[in-house]
Amino acid sequence: MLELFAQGMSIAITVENLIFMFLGCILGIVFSAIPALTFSTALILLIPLTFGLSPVAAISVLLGVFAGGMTGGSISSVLLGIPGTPSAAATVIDGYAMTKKGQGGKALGVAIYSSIFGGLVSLAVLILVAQPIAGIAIKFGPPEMFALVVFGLSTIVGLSEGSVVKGLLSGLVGLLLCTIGLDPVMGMQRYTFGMSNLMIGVGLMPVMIGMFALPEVIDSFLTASKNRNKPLEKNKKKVKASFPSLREMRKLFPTNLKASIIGTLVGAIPGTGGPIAVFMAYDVAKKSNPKVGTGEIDGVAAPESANNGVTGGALIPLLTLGIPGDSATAIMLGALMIHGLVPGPLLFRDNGPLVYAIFISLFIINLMVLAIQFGGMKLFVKVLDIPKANLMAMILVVSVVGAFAVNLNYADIVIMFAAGFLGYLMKRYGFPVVPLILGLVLGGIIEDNFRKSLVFSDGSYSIFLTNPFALVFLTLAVVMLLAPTVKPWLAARKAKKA
Amino acid sequence: MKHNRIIALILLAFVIWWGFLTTRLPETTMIGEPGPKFFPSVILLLMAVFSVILFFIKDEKKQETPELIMEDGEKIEIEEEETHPMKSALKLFAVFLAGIILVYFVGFSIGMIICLTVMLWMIGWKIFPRAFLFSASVTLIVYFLFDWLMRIPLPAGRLF
Repeated sequence: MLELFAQGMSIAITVENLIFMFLGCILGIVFSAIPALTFSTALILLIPLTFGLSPVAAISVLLGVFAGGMTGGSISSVLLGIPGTPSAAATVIDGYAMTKKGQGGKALGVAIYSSIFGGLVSLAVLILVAQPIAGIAIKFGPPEMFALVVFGLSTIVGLSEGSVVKGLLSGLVGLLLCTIGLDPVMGMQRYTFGMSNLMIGVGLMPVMIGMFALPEVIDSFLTASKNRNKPLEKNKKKVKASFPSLREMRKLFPTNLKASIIGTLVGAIPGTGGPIAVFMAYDVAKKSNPKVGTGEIDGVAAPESANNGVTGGALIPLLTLGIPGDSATAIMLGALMIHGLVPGPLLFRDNGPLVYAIFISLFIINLMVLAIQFGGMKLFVKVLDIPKANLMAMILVVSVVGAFAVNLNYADIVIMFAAGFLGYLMKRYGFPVVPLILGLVLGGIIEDNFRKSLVFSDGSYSIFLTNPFALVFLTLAVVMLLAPTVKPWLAARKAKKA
Repeated sequence: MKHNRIIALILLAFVIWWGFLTTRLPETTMIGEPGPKFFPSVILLLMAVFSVILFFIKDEKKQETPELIMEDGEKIEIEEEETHPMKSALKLFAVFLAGIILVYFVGFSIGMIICLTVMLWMIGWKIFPRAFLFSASVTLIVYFLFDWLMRIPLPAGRLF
């Protein structure tokens, strides 16, 4: 192993590779920090440019985009309340709440630190136990996937900000939106009203941009209108960028570690990805600290560690089995194959030094992301010095572009508007928005795997009870869903006895 | 009538309508497969149950925003969420919707400049030069950044 490590080091650490890693990190951060773009777009745009590069340089630049992209999404989540990527959706809750308290700089510091923590833990797992984890992950068939995702969905209870009924209704609306478009098993049209634009379904990015950005824009415009006779308002508090102190790092350690492991494990299961991991990690953080949700550093640390944990996790099935875990790793699989490398068990045997070069590159990339983000932090928080109405006007324009750019589909702009209007009403009448997003992320996976499971079992529901993994996850989901009802009842009974 | 009750009734009406659409979906032809109707039906059933529960839940009273005291004793004033008149919000949404329709006909740049200028005028900016120049510069910067620099196409108009 040490020999492979040394050989890998000599391949990875060259001036050319380091430059490409650095460029990849910057590109990933920029693309995911702008709500209109995603790092998957950056990866696609970059692939043709890597044709002339050596395999390691090509993979370095793509890994830089991947790791930088996972971290960069937190910038707009924390500072503007708009997730840069779907994986940064949970960071908005506490990150933006901290910004409203004037602690945006600190939230950003915690997000950066936690992201790197997650990235390094997942890398360690990737190096040490990639093959055994891949062996378990490959056993996840439709029943296990269905149960895991139902468990992920049960975190809605924790995301419901007060009213569980409203949270569940919000989540159900999200699930219902997933049913619009082509049926996942039979390919029939559902609720498309004859519009071909709706056949691809309701996109996550337009809904997310609409729900998070539009209500904020409208509210800020109305506040500006109310204060129209006052001089142009600038943010009252000067926001200082700050990295977490050693004491805070110690305090955050358990949250970061748990979230990183969740991110790595979920990322290792093909077909899951960042959004599921971040909501699961957020829920775990909320259980340890009930104040999470009101602007706590744990609420920023958990999703950020989890989404960067996914980077290493998603590489486990990619490198060991040749199965991409999400869209970003699917693009990277294509890039590896273009450069003559076929991921799978043979990759470790035939190209051992190269695999270790990838591991070392990923370690360096994490340090680079840390340095770039740390250096840029002071610059990022300057965004908050721009008068809010001006900033929101810019966001409105970028939102239109963001909704359109994903599929180059005009209908997505209309969906963004409808989601924004719904989001405004939900915010006004106390319905949390995040469960709807979670429902939208998970709905398709749940239905697809549920129906495939029943096809395998000839319609017998016992498939979910005879499968140990599925049974465990479904039991946990039921416990999570019943907890808000049972907990107060048990507490009242205990108090009565005492 | 209380907000929760109105919302519950709206949701129930929506569930009935969407349920009607669901009944018109085709049946499955595969053995064991529950078909395209099954998942939406389960969701609608759960929505109906929770809407009924919501109907009987009392509206929450708005809590006062607490003052936050940091560990080092520093007091932080939390930005209070303002509730604006619904009518004003609806007007802004209507203008934005008109802007989106305009984008369909005249393309991103012209549509967004007009839409943003009107929205900024509505919140008290002078239509010329401030609102117009600001809208034009933001839209054109975004246009050059995406369309020209990154080659990401922006919505083109049907007319020109």
